[in-house]
Amino acid sequence: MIKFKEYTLDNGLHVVLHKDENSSIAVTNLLYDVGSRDEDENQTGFAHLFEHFMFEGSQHIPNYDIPLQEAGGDSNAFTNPDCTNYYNILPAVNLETALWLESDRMLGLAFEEESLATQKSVVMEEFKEHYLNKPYGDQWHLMLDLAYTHHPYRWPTIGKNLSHIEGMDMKAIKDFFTKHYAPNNAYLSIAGNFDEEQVRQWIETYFGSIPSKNIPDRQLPKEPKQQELRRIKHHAFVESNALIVMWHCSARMAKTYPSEDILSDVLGSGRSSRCQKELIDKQQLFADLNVYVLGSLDPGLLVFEGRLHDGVSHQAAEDALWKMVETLQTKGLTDQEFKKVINKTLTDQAMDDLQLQNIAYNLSFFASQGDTNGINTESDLYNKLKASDIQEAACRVLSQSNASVIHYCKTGASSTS
Amino acid sequence: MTNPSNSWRIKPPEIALTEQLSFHQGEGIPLDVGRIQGFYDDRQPFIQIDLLIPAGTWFESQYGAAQMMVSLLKSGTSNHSGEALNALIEETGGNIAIQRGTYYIHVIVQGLNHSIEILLDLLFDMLSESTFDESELSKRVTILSNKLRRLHQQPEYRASKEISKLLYGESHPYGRSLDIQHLEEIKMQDVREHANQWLSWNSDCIGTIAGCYNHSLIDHLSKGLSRLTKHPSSSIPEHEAIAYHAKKIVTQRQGSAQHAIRLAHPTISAHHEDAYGLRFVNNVLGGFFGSRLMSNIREDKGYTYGIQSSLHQLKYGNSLVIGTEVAHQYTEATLQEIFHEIQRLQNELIEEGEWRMMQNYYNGLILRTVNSAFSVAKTYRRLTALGIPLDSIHKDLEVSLSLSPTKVRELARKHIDIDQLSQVIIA
Repeated sequence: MIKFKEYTLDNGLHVVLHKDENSSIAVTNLLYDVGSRDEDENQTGFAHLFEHFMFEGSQHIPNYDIPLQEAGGDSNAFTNPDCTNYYNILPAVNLETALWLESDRMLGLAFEEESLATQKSVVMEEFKEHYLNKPYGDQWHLMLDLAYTHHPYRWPTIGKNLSHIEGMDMKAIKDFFTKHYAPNNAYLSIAGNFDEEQVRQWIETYFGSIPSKNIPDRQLPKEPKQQELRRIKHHAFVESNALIVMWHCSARMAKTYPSEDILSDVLGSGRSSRCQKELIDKQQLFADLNVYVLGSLDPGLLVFEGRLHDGVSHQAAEDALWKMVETLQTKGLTDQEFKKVINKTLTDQAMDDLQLQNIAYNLSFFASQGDTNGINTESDLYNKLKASDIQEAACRVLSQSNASVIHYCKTGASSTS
Repeated sequence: MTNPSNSWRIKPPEIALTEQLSFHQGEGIPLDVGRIQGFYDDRQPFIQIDLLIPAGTWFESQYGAAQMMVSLLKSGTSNHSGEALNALIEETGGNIAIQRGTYYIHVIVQGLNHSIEILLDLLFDMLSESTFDESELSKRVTILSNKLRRLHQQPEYRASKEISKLLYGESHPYGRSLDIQHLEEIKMQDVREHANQWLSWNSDCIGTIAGCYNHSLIDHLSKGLSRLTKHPSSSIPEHEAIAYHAKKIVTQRQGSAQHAIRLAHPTISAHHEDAYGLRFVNNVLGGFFGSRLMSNIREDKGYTYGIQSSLHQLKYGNSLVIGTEVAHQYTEATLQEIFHEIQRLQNELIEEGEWRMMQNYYNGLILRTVNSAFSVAKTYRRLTALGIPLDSIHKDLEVSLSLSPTKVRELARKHIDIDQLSQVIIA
């Protein structure tokens, strides 16, 4: 049970405090409700580049990292399709430094051209390192572009291509800041050892005077229901053929999400999961595979991805997967199988709470969804599930007309599909 | 122009340094054979047990035997088929992971309090009753071969492999890496022999338990581990590294977008009197986001997404390694900037502001390594594997607080040598 207190400042900043007297460190986590789904399709990768720019100096403080490091701390951030999340970890005695820094960059940035040029270059190198120069690095671009036709989830957070990043200018950066970076679009949580009264006072001092902004309602195009199976074949310089199958599934906070999350575990989590046992151990079609849900805030994807053994055709591998899906849909789960995945999920959730950093992020996340206590009650949703719910989820989600399939072929490989 | 009424926004808050550490030292718990270090924390319903067993590649008489042994431990015992074994482990919701290191294999058992004894029983079964079936070997060889082929496509993997070879020689356990050819040559008899000889709990093993444990669990662990005790029929193998000479390797590949760069040379061991200070020097050079390499090459020049230097202090070998990935057009400039930063560290004194930042950051870093029972247990294992006591963390703090810019310059001159750096540049 994670204990916390929460309140909202007059300017709309939502604050969550979790005190841990046994810790000598403190973590601040500030989640902004803006991600790559909020980007213009001609300017993709913007939210992520902006995240980099947030470390390039603020209105009154020329460098973000140096004062934090002077206080013995570290910071980092991540951007995903739904949000941009910033965190600081530092000795608890120096917590005020993190609040001073975070508040100043919420107030305003330095907006220096030279910094923008540098961060564009850094992000382009990141793009090359992870998406161009790595085997299967282009996989996410292919997957999202195939699975989504309307919703902005159709491009990855890094951006569609290098030219979008290269083309970003300071005006767009300023507009993005004005539009999305405001106390009433943010969720601040603090976990660690602190004096509550003192922390409340610091938060009021540093954040209380930052004006709220008029945050436009999010109006994203809805992804139309997929009507028929989509399929592409892609060739690249890789060592093994791969099969990727994606199905549209529920949004992270939907009632049906836990059953679909568990469904993905039934299929692919652990060596005793169905796919591992059947497709790797028994039939020896795949060298490795993963099955997971994206957990996005708008309806997401349940993804199967696996790398094929040499000599195995894409079609044979895909047929075996569909056959397994059909068995699950018609025969359901054994009690033992169901109990196993539920236990695993509950253990993982307990493990998650061992780290202050995870607690701080989860508090911000659940606060942003309007139910901070979700950090404690989410496990109840999983505990209430029945084996039949998973079978129903399999029937609902894992249909051919809801699927997108990629046959990822090694260059020169002749796929028999 | 800054509004004077906002001066409190300009002035940083007061900060405090940690001058004395107070952390969970753990308790030495004697077992029937050997001992385990306990780090009690009753705030979580969770227990983690870690065992380091000297049975890694250091002990192989056939390349790949240790890796294959680790891969096969979950593939079936005389009591459970592989399928049943994995189902039983996963039913608990917990996990048993076994990782192959160079010297040790690392066994990790994680689970909620009520399931940990079940997991331990399954672990003991795996470690003592594995059947090592022939049919499983070919499956695992195929899977590992595919994985190796994919890794070989990654420039950073090949660069790290090459630099290790240059440092230690390709027949030394620290210098060699598993190749597909080794996998194809391996026989189940090699795996069985490796397991029979080295998979044993004895006084050279290192163990930690963290979380809400009790006497009954310790008793269970002790009895189970004592059944795994064997007397090795041969002594610990000796391996000699090659006489080191700096070399340069460059490869090109059509269509590649970046070079993986690795620079390295041998360095002092963790037991050397300068080891504490050198860790600080490494931190300044490339040990964290605010280090000089990151500040210059990423934050000022934008040549890379990340660059770091690290001290690889192992049981029988030590090296300083610098690594990054950069676009081809930045490769030469990046190398020059790395050399420039080393020379700057050797020739100039760190100025006051930067010094304060470096020292304070390091101070906070030490604090974070001992913040919870689980993090102290991890630190304990790392240090004990090198033969260093846990309370050396206090000395680490003490030395870092007593260092001066002059001393750092002296250490950089003494322990970093540009002419001795091997260079590996892989496209």
